[in-house]
Amino acid sequence: MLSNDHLPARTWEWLKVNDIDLKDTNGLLASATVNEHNIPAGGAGETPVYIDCKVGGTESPASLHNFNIEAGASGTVIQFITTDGGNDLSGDFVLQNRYHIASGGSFTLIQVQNLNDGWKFYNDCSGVCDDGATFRRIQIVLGGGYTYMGEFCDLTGEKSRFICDIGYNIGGTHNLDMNYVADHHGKNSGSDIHVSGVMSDHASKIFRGTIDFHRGCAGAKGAEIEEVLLLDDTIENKTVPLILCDEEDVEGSHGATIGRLDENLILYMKSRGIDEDEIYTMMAHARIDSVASLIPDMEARDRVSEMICGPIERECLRK
Amino acid sequence: MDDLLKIEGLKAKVEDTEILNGIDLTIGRGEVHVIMGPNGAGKSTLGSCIIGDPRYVKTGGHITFKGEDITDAPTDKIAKMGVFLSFQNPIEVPGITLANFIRTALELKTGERIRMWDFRKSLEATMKLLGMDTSYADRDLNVGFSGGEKKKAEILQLLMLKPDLAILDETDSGLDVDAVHIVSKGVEEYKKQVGGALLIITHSTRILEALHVDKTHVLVDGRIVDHGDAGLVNEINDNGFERFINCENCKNDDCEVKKKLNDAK
Ligand SMILES: Nc1ncnc2c1ncn2[C@@H]1O[C@H](COP(=O)(O)OP(=O)(O)O)[C@@H](O)[C@H]1O
Ligand SMILES: [Mg+2]
Repeated sequence: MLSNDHLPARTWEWLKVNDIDLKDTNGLLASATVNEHNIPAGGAGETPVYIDCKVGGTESPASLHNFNIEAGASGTVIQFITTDGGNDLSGDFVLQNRYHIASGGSFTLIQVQNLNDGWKFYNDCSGVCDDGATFRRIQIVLGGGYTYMGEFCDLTGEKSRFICDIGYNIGGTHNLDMNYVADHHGKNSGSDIHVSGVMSDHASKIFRGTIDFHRGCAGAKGAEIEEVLLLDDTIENKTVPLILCDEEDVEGSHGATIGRLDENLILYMKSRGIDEDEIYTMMAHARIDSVASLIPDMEARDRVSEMICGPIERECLRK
Repeated sequence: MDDLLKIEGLKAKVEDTEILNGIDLTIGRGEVHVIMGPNGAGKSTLGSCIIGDPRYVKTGGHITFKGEDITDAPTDKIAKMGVFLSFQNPIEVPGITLANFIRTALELKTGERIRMWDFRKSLEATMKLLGMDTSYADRDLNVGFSGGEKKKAEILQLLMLKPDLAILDETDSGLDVDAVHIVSKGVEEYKKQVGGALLIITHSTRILEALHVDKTHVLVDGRIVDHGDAGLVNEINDNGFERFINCENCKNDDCEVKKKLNDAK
């Protein structure tokens, strides 16, 4: 079962926002083999492992990975999900990551997605953090058709942590559906989900962020913050934060800033000769950049930079 | 015709209030003009109208720049033609570093890509001239800058973008003595390097000390009520605006002089 539709409470159905149907993906999953990765303590895991998913072409329609991070070990995995071949290709692709981070271990999963609009992409992730374990997730979403992203982080261990930063820039008719759950069981466990995005054109997005404090997770803290920049009136934007409390001694918070660019800011930038399209492009890049700057690997950061700056050529420079 | 900027009979309103009531002003290439006037007179509005702020609706008159009618031109076009406005209250630009901001503006203005290395060198040299720590180049423009740093960042942009006309809206207001000195030095440098024209809105003479002022205008209640040379600046500093004011017809309740007169009644 994918964690995209694994929810701790039935609330979604009442809110009528749980409209993903992941049943279709079961067939894709059945045909795929699981890649097992073990990250042992001491040394080797420090250099990032690249897993490139070139969707289309000869790539299997599903890519499944199990990561076992041994006690005290630390590892980083970087996944680029891009389209292989022509722009007219389309189809479904499932990426599933499972992790188990043993005591004191840390695991960083970095995902950068840039697909063309013919793709329906199911990006599923879930796992367990033991005592003092940290799961760090950094995601950048650029192009795509339908994108379903899910995370179910089981913070079983005491002082376990889930830190998640998501940056997206969606336009066209891109439909982005996010469902993130921080499942707090461990005492003093912590979660931080920060989503920063830009929407334009007919893009639509739903962000469901759940912080679930179970009995016994005393001292746990969870926060979700969302910032959305809306560049057009034609977008569709939904946010569904949910904080569930079965324990008294916890702190949960949700914050959202959703809006358009300030007119004073636009005037200021225009007064320096920067036109409106360029202003929007700059501000959209800035959002993605701020998430990309969290990526600890220079090479990956450069690739993201190329992706966001590459196709944008200023009109006047095109001579 | 060697006029750089020509404003004829400009009237403007905001939210149904007339603010400018027929302004005539001509600035030749390289000339230095000073505008003085009480608070609420319409000085900033004049700057906003020249740069094409769409929130100020022009209800009469024309503005031409380099012979081209820019009355209804978009702000970014007016800027690219060579007009620069130093804001009375510079805006914070989160997510965009000072260096990136200026480089983008410069590339859009010249239509050429600028080599990172060359740009960085000239940016840092200019920052040093203004006594700005070069680490500010990599900070988001104006975000968390002090009042003085924001004004210096405006002058930095002026020096980097090299416009033909610079409008300085109270760039020297609210700064300490050292900061005013640096800002003045920056303006002097602009004059030396670029030789552009200046329209300086100010309440003090210090920013003018190293400049040759060609003309001083007194703006009261949306009208230019007097012209003079540099001497007029001193006269106003000594005597205030009282002698220019006909308070009977004035509808501007923000006007300092009117307030004073009302208080005296
Ligand atoms: N955006 C605005 N909305 C409403 N009133 C404005 C606006 N801008 C200026 N005004 C009014 O217009 C008058 C002139 O303002 P301004 O040009 O800022 O004066 P100055 O710069 O000479 O102090 C003032 O009465 C002010 O309150
Ligand atoms: Mg003003």
